Amino acid sequence: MTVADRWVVGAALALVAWLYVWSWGGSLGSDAGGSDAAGVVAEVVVAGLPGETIDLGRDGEVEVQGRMGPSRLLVQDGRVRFTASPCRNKQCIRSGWLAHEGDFAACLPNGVAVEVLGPERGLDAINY
Amino acid sequence: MEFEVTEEDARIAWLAALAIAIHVLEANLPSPLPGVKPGLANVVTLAVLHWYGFGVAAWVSVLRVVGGGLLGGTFLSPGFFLSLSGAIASLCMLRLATAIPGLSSIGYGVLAALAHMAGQFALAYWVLLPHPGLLRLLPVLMTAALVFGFSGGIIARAMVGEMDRAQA
Repeated sequence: MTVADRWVVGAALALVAWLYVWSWGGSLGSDAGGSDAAGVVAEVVVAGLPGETIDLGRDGEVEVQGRMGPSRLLVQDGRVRFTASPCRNKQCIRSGWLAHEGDFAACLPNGVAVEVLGPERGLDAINY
Repeated sequence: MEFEVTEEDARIAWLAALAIAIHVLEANLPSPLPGVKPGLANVVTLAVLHWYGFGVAAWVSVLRVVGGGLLGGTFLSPGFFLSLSGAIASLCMLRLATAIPGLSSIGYGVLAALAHMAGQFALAYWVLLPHPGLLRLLPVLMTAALVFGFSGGIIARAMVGEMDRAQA
């Protein structure tokens, strides 16, 4: 390895190290932090009714009247999830937290659906 | 119409054929991450750069991408353009790097691999998949590029050293 090689490898190591700091160190914002949840909203749709949006920047609980009864949604740290629904299988609750744009959960028996909205719609799936 | 085949044309064709063979073999290796490959075909580019200079290396590299794409069935697919953008970026980098005195195949290998990954990533990010999440993958991809560029450079230097000794 020549002296010039050493310089190149050293500079490359420094560049890669800097990339880790830049990309993972928070300058791009974290995925699920309360701070950048400002402005992020979720749309709640009840079958047959126009949807309404809820602000994910404000923690709290929302109750939605569906066909069978009330579904409860919990908003926390810029995320939203079903916590209760009168359905049998509880698929909506098992869907867990919805944090990213395009994340979606629905309670079909109760006719309630929640989707996280954002400025640009991401991809549903990627295949290589 | 007849073309005159110069000695250099024949040499480029042979070396490109070698690079394409390695490229196709390597395309069939499983990879944990899309875009990460050992880049063994670039060892040929590095060796050619050492022996015949930048012009021949550029020909071999571009012919490898086009030929490899045709043989692998990925010609004009997104993967092909990723490959092409990487090759063009690494050639631009090598062109600049030849101005640095005292570099061996190791230095060239590292620079070419980083540029290759950067070029490929730039196309992926701006055209194919503009999602901020992709940026989080960049350090990992660049680490892989650094490791494989370095090891490829070591292979190329050892190969070049052996051949030079055999001819001397």
